[in-house]
Amino acid sequence: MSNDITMPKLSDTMEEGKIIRWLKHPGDTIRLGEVIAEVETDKADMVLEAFDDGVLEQIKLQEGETAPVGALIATIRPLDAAAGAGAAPKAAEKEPALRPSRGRARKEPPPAPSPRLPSAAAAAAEGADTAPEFHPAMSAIQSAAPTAIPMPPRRPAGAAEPALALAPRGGDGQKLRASPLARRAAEEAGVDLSQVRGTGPEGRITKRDLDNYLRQEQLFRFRRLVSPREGEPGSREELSKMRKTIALRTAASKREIPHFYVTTEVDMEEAVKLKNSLEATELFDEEISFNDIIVKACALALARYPRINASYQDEGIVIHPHINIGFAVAVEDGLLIPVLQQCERLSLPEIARAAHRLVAKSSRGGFTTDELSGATFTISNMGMLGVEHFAAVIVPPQAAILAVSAIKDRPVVRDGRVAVGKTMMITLSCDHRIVDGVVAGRFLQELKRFLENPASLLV
Amino acid sequence: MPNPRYDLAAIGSGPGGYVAAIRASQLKMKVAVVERDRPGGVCLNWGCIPSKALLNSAQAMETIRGAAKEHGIEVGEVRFDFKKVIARSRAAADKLARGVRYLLKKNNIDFYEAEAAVSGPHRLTLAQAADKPPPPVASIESERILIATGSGERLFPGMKVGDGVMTSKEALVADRLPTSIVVIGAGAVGLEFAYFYQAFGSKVTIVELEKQMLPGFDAELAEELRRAFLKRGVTVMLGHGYKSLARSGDSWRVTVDAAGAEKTIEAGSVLIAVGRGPLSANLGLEGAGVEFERGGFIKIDDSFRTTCPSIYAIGDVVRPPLLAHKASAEGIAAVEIMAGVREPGFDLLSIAGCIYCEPEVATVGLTEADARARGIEVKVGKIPLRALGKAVAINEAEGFVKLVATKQYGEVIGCQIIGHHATDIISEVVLGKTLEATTAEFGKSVHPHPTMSEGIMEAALAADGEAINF
Repeated sequence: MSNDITMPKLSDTMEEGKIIRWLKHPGDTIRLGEVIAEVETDKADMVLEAFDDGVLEQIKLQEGETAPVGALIATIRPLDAAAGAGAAPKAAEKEPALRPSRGRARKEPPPAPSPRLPSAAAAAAEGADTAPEFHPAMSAIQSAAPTAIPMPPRRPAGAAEPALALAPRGGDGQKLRASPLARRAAEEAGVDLSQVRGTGPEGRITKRDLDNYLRQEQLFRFRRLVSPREGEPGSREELSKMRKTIALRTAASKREIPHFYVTTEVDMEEAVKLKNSLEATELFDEEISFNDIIVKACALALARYPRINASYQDEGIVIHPHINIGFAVAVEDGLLIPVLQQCERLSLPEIARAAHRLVAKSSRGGFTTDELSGATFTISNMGMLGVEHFAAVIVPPQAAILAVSAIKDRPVVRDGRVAVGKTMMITLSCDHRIVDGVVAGRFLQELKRFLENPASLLV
Repeated sequence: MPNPRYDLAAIGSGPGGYVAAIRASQLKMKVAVVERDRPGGVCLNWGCIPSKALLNSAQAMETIRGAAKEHGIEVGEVRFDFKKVIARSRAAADKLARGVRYLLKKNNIDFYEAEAAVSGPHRLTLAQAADKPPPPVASIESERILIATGSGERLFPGMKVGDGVMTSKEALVADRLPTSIVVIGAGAVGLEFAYFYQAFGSKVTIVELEKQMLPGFDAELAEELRRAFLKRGVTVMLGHGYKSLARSGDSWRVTVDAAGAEKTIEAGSVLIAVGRGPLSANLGLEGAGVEFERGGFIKIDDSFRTTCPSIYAIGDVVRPPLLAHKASAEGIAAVEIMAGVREPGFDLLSIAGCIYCEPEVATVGLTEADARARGIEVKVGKIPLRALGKAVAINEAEGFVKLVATKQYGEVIGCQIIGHHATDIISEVVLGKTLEATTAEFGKSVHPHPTMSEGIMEAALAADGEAINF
């Protein structure tokens, strides 16, 4: 006899759940606290943790299948029982060997889209080959920055790998060691510290550990984005709220706004150097990404070409008093455009700081209204996807949107000779009712000038 | 005889080199240290230790001459033997230098008194050093080499030391008190000597190019210190750049320049305290492929490794701040990283800087202005020491404690203290910073009364608008 694992009720309103992915397969040994599957519920995607040690015997509900709460989804047998043999009575008396992840499936309403398990957990479960599946650059959902997410801290040679690095600690009578700062920050971010691996003495959790955890979580989400589970051939997908909004707005934009497109190539050699030297000197607390550099350059260029920072209305063209730059961030089921308000007043590090906060919120939720509205210009950055060139759809009622492609090694001509340079294609989509070709071309030249002379961005 | 072989060979036995060597020996490495001068480096011989001995004499003098009356103590004519003041300072340095020699021996570290030069990624060539016997071997081999050569006094072009013109090194052994002295540079070294000479009765003038004392420090702190120096009778000329130096009879004429207007100051002696620079030249590093940063600092990665993979560097020779405890901490970190028992990286923002004039200055982490420049939103708590019972009781009420914390979480990211015992109480903030404490922990940890450390608690409370005694 085996223990039944049933579909748990992970939220008050949950009636059924869908298996997104099994992280364990029949025959795998399961340790207490280990994540064994991901389940999609009405509220959010959640993870299931094993409540006891054992061996996964049979999977009853396959990936992508849905079952009501209480339905059998898998069976496990105790570690000491032979495969297929009778149950060990000791285990049979126990509770079903599953419980929702602590802190995620709690009764209180979860704080917006609940975070998933850390990528480290998934990576560990899937095998080592999955961890570096994507270049770290790609993890920076928000930008083309080939930096934003460092790999997990290296373990010094000789230091023993903790047997259960990801098993939750804390509530089980063990004292959870964390710095006061890490506790505060975790509380604000809605993170259960027992999920975070501490690197301090005796596993003490520092703020950096928490930051790494949050970044890994983002990395994990991103990996899911680029290998989407949706899109089964022959199936019909229901429209999410976000999907509907995107459909309405992009269609309206293309229907009403006469788009035209202007492209230029920008030499990013100096910008790359600037970014590297800022990193090397650690002058600023925040890591500056290419996205931040582009936002700053746009703010400067827009200040000189207010006509691009405008909206078309039948009564006339409104030139906006502030430069509020939105930047598209890919999220699980679409995209969000958080807004950096009044960029004309922000220094580069201030932009970086604000942008990083907004990106963090994109994966955790908790936006205020003015963090998602009021943009007067938008940047769409697909650099991290290695895109050569693309054009974006204007977000009404804005006058333009900038499409940013990857920084690539390309032949450039310097002093009459062909050399290898780092260049990037940018394309401005403009509303022809507001802007004509000359203004668009000049604006793009101005933007190019700032990006190619990036010292100006620090002033 | 084959060359001796080591796991680690350090050049320099200052607080960086000797500490790294001992830690390496504890981690089972076979270690050599090469030193051309005396064991202990600048810190023990020409810096921290002897200067603190002098400053201690100055404080005694200040108490006897100045404060005694307020205590109701009558003092007759005060006389002193300046030679003995200097001799006591030298004795302290000698004692500690012998201590370093003993520690190296105790840890089975081979100590070579010689000039070392890198002659290969794993080889040091040893040459006879001034006033030393020839070294026992001409070269040694080592798996890894650690450059811990420290820094030397900087001079302006054309300046010559001697005949009353001194750097801190000469001043430490000059056993005749100057009647008047111009101190060029209002950094830590300049201020400590200015205080020392003033306390013994010299007429002291400080000249500084920048508009504040202690350039780069918190502006309020620098202003508080300027007032304290003025009160003690020191002439402070800020915004005055050094132009030239000329002999004029028995004294020196120092020409300075303030926005185009030249002035001259006459004095019997001149102390040049315009900073220190890394001693990275003539070590054969270029040949090994070691690269340098601006100003001659050796370029390292976050494992303290130079651009030559077998050569490491720590302390003053790699980057500011040029401080003994930073060099020791980097030395330990470098060796532990080599041994694989520590992860790369080093938090320079948790290195406290201390200045031992009176009032003392101690700071760690970011100032309010630094933090804002980095785009960090901060809250600041500031408590004047006169609000503390202890400060008033012991008649040491000048100065303040300033705590800088992030607005978001109250993380303490910086602290500036000026006042009596500032250098002793700063460590609480260093520990708190390392543990990532917030203003709540500083404010709610009960501090004993009456102590100067209550200033830190009150400043933390003040940052949250909850100070009790101010």
